[in-house]
Amino acid sequence: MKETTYLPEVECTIAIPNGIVNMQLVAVPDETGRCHYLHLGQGNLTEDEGKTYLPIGVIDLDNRGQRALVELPMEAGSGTRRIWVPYKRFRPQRAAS
Amino acid sequence: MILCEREIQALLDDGAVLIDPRPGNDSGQWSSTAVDLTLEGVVLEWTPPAGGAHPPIQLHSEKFDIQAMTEDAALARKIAIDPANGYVMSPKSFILGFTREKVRFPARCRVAARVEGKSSLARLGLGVHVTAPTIHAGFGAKRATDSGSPIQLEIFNLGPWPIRLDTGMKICQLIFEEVREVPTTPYRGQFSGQQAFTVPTP
Repeated sequence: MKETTYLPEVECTIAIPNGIVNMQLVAVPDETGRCHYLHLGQGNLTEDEGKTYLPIGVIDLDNRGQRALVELPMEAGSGTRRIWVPYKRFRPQRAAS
Repeated sequence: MILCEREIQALLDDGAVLIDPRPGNDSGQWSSTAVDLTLEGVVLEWTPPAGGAHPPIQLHSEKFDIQAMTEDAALARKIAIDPANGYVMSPKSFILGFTREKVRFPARCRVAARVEGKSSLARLGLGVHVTAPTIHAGFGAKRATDSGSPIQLEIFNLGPWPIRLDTGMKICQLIFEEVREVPTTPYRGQFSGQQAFTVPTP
């Protein structure tokens, strides 16, 4: 089995780029595909190879299930603060070129 | 919502908020919705301009730096409070002081606080802040390893009598309030201590 290094950022989509008072509405899917929506200020997301990533806190790793429990930066509109996210939705760390 | 002393103590127990040294439960520093903080042994006096003339302070100038002013010996004088005689504040005078306790409010704790004076001192004309009472979520916690910061106090004596200040006296109180969401402003630094992680993948 190979190893992969990920950065503590998960893939997300910007649902509304310029919402109320210039906030972004960001959708973060959990392992079931359900999206959790956060209102964030501009400039908090990272773009990498055409994907958008949200910084999160990693709480726990489940290697058997290939997923991580992450803490969102704020409570989502769903009321959720922590979600399970598959490893493949994390931003991979790339070797310096 | 203002937190009661049990809630504040639970935050301290959990390490969500730091007050160092932590006031003991029998220290006399706790009231129903506040904790008293005590005075550090150094105060800072602004030095009156020689001859009474000084160019106006240009608040909008790029050179204006209040921190640099407090460190400039020509403008400010640090005075250690005399253990035997205290520091006597003249009527109509103003100094900067500090709390002996260091305080740390990580942004993620969703708690902020307000510094307020004590009524017994206020009745003599002694105030401890000048329109800047808020301790914001994130105070004293720029880095995960920060051990907190003392709270700077703007102390003035509006009363007619000299008032003696002593190191360790109860000088102000902190009132804690819940913050509804994690603030966006310090958000980028919120997970700044996080490292990349390596996992086995098929």
